[in-house]
This record gives sequence, structure tokens and C-alpha cells, in this order.
Amino acid sequence: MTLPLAATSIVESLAGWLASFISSSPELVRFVVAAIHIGMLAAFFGLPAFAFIWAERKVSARIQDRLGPTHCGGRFGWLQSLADGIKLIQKEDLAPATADKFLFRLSPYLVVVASFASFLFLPFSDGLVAVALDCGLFIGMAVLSLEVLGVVLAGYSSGSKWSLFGGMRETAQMVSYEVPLGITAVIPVLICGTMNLNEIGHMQSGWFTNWLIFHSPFTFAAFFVFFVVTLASNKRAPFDLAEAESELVGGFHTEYSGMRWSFFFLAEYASMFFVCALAVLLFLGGWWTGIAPIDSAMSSILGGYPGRVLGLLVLLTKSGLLVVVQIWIRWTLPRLRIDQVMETCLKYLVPISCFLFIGSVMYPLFWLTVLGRPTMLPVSSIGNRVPVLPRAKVPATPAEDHDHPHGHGPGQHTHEPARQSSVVPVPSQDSAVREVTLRGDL
Amino acid sequence: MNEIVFAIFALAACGGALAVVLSQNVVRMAFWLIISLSSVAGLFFLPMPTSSGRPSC
Repeated sequence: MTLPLAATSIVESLAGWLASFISSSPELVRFVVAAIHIGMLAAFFGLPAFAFIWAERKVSARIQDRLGPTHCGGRFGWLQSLADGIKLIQKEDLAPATADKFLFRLSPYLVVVASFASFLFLPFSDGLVAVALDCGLFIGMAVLSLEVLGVVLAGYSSGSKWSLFGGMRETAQMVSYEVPLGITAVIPVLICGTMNLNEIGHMQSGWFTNWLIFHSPFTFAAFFVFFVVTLASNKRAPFDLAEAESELVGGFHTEYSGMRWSFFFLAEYASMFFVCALAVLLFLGGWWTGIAPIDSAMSSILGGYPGRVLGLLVLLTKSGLLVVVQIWIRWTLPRLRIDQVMETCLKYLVPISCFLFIGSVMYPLFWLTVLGRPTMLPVSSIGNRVPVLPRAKVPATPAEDHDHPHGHGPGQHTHEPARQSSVVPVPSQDSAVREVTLRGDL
Repeated sequence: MNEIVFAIFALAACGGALAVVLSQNVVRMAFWLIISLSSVAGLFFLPMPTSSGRPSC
């Protein structure tokens, strides 16, 4: 079976790197490397979930002025998740007499499979992606949204009113929150001109001003809308109506016990990590540190595979921080009512995201009319995108400057003698005016 | 190897389709429909040689 090209190149690059240390048969090295990557993918699914379950307990405890787990594993209770897992394995696997046993047993696996499958499309670092597709973002989000299916089936098949209500709420919530989620995710796609997450990551290289969150005021707002919507689509508080203890006992997982219950938990934390990594890739510069010298040193000095591992660590750190923010929000804000949840989505988030979408479409066009020339490069120059710098003075080519003889304001001159730069004239009444560097070929 | 994976997906798709027709319960029918559809989706990820000779994904 032939592997997808990206995965093959990754395996080959590490195998080549390892082969310089180990002198054994190349087939064996290649096999070991492929096995390592499969293990890594499974680890990215399981280990962050373990870490975040521990973090959830610890952060919630600190927010509520408690200590949280302290003993397990010596200090800080860092092995608490493992202890929880051992406890859950020992529990009896119950199914209610009224349940549809077949679907009841199956639905936790559906949730886990949907959550795990979405990890296949996530580039953890430059090219470090299991299935590199040109529609990676689309298919990743589509697969992740299958998670709701398992929740609905779990709610239905439990044979309990509480579970059924939890499942129905989850459906209503997920389906309506998919709309703003899709619209805000389209904004980076629109700017980058690709749905390939790896290329979207590449377009944000260099300084952190290249991150898409700083691309325009609209993308800045879009990041926060995206983040709020991912909270809701992961049924995290304050949108965790599907498991509202005060009304629905435990929501859709009321009747579950032991490992089947913990599968729901595992999938929830894994998809929390997935949406945070997606937010990082779409808006927060992906695997780049955002400091251009460090990034170029990372890729040139280390080069090849070790540089990719560093990028992976950067991505894990960024998305881990976002997950901590999710936990922080959960233990800070009270839960909404179900009508308020729907109202937040349909009355506020959908119009806001539509406005942001139109805004980010119009933003380059606005500057096109003001400056008289385009401010965005064509897609062909991926990784070489001209940064949109706030208040930066613009070196323009003399040829283009002839077309806009609006006069040069004092203090608007750039200091780039090497490029014979001049200034793009901009109406100066607007203090928030952003000028844009341009390449000569535009 | 490719043929084995194809056979697994194809069997799951056909079996799911049969189960859709034969199941009594509507929700189970919907579940089998999902199994059938996602197996068909899985077929698209098989690296079949295309007319240009390159794998399709």
C-alpha cells in the first residue's frame, strides 16, 4: 500500500536522519520510524487528554481555593489521571434494562473514533501530518463534527429521559454552532487562498505580525468568535448544556459507567486540544514562534527533522495554553440556559461572524480604493507573504509611485535607502491608517 | 495490501447498506447508514493510481 506523499516524505526524512547514526538495514529503520509516527499520533490523542484532565482538576481547585490532587505521583498529583483511569477500568460496565444495548455499547467508540480521526488531518509541525490533503481544514472539521453523532446515539440509546434531553440539546447546539464555526474558519481560508492547513501555517511564518489574527481588525475579532464557538461545539462551559448536572443529572452520559463513560471524557479533552490546535494553525501562527530570527535559526541551524520537532513543541505549547484558557473560562463563567445558548448563537454569533467575514473580504478592497493598488499578494507566493504592518512606512517602487502623486506628508518617509523607497500617500486624517509594503512586481 | 483495505471498506459499505434495509429500528437504520456512508468515504482515501499515474491523495 502506497502511503500519501507527505507522510512518506516525513518518514523518509527521519529515517535518513536516523540512518546516519544507526547502521542497519534501511527497511528496518523505515519500519521503526513509521511505527514511531503511528505511536506519536496515538500519543497526541491520548497524552494531552491525560494532561488536560489533570490540569482541569488542578486549575478548578485553585480557582475554588482548594488544593486539588496533591499526593498521586509524588508532587502536584501529576499522576492523578492515570489513577482515575485505573479506577474507571475496575468499575462495572453497566447498561440499563431499557437501553438499546447495541447502540449503547457502541456510541462511546463513535465519539472517540470521530475525535481521533480529526487528528489525522492536523499538521503538528511543518509537514508533520498523517494525511496531507488540500482540503485538510474542511475534512478535519467535518470529521470532528461527527462527534455529535455518538453523543446523540448515546443519549437516545440510554433509554432515559435525562440522557435523551442531553442528546437533543447537544444536537441543537452543535448544529447551530457549526454555522459561525464554519464562517469564521473560512476567513483564514479566504486570506490564504487554500484549505491546506500546512500552507496556512506556512503563510504565517516570520514575525508574529504575520499571524492571521493580526492580519486585519476583522481577523482579530474572528479569532475570538472562533474560540467562543469552539467552546460551544465542544460542549464546554458555559455552553455545557448537554451535561447540565442541575437539570439533567449527567446529561447524555447519565447512564454510562466505567471505561465507556471515560471514553466520552477522553474524546472531549482530545477534541478540545484539536480545536485549540486548529485555532493556533488558523490564527496564531501555527508551529512558528512568531519571532523571525528564532524561526529562521530553528529551520536553518537544526534543519530537517529536529527543527520540525521544535515546531511541534511550539504548537503543543500554544494549543496547551489555549486549552488552559478554556478550562479557566469553564470555572469562571456560570452555565447559560438552553434558550440563551441558542440565542447567543443565532442572534449574535452568526450575524457577527457574517459581518467579520464580509469585513475581511472588504478590508483589502477598501485599501485598494484608498491606496489605488492591491495590498495582498497572489497565492503563488506562499511563505513569502508581504506583512501588513501597523503604521509601517511603505517602500514602494518608483514606477508605482508615479501613479499616485498625492503629495508626501512630513514624517512619512521611510528610511530604506537601499531600495530607493518612497512613500505611499495616504489620507492623513485617519490615525489608524495602515500602510502596506508592496513588492515591486505588483 | 491495497486490495485488502478496499475489501474491508467495500464489505462495510455493502453490509451497512443491507442493514439499513433490514433493520426495524429507525435510529439503528440511521446508524447503519452512517457506517455505509463513512465506508464509502474511506474508499476515497485509498491511494488508487489515477490517470496521471500519481496517487489520488
